[in-house]
Amino acid sequence: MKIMVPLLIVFIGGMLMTFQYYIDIPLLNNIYKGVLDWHMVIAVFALVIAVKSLIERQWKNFRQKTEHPVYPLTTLISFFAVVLLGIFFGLKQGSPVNFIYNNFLVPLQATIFSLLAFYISSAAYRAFRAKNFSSTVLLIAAMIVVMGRIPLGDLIATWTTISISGKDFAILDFPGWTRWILTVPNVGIKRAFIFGITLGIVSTSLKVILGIERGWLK
Amino acid sequence: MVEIITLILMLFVLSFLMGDNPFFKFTERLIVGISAGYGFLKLFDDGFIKKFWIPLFQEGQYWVIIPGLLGMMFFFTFSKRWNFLAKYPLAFLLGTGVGLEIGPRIETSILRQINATAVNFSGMSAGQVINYIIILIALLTTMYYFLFVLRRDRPAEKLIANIGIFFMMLGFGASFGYTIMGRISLLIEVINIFFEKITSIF
Repeated sequence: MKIMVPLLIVFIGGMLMTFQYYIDIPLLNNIYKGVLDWHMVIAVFALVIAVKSLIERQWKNFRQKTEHPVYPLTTLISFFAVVLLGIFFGLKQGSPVNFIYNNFLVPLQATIFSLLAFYISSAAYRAFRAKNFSSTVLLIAAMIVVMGRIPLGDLIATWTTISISGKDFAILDFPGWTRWILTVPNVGIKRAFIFGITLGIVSTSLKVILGIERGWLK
Repeated sequence: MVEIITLILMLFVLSFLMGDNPFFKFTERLIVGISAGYGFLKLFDDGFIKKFWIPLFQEGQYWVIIPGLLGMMFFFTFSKRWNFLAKYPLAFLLGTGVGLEIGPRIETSILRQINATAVNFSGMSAGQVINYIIILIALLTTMYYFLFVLRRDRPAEKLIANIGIFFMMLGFGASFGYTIMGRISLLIEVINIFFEKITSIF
């Protein structure tokens, strides 16, 4: 009961969903559509547990004073405020929750992500050093792409354009080089990685379906 | 008023550049609370109301009781004696979830990629042929580099692996440069929003 039933559910569910992709039978197609809806319904109940965990954790921090009480209180108050506003006024356009989303959440999340610009620049300063051949290639590729994506790159391409037998040719064509790097060698290595990642995902999925991988049962 | 509050909160977030501080921590927790609340409401609306409540009580689709009951089995997590029952909905999500992945993954990430790599050169210009050959060499040498079961003792084998490294460095550099530019564009956008809010206040 404790091991066999979950393994059986995983096996049947996994096999059905795998076969429905390859076999065009109306019954399997209907099961597929139903399963997508079931996922949403089941996920809501899992979310209740996640919310309980969040509230418990914040309340514990508040009670035990592991950090300044303002922080857990901020999380709890903002969470309940949004949930209550959503329950009473809904989520539609113009509702208070929609207002909070557009005026606070979107700009603040964008600001947090923009902080990464500083840290990624600092990482680039350390990574882009021509210590050996490989790192020099990395540096040159990155510099070409950076130059190719800024207006200065376009300007340099225009300034260095010469005409050879009636055809325009840019000596320092950073935008063109960027396009070539991103669409030719980059595509090749990305495909190699995609093959590796996909084979890993498929083999792990098969291990789960066949009950070889049971880590999730612990 | 709202503009001023947003502006102050944006400043609090940017204050992290000077190090972790109470203003950033406060804003961070505020974002966590609002995000969690919004995420909960969204899933509650999309999953519970639209897929469970309305079909069950307004459309008379009683079969939705099954996923409802299956979902409720998650609550057995709180029981020491019956907590094994909470694995049943997890098994359903996991089994069907991985089953749903296999087919489309093989189709899009392996078969279509092979199809896009193994192209017919007829009717192509010399430049296009060279580009496809470079893609093929980059693909094969990168894959060769990651075949750890093969020994790379002979000079020719080392050379193939080194070509793979060369292409990977080219790709990593390009991806890193692209990411840097993406982040800087976002920063510029945020700075624009920041100044727009300042001008709208004054």
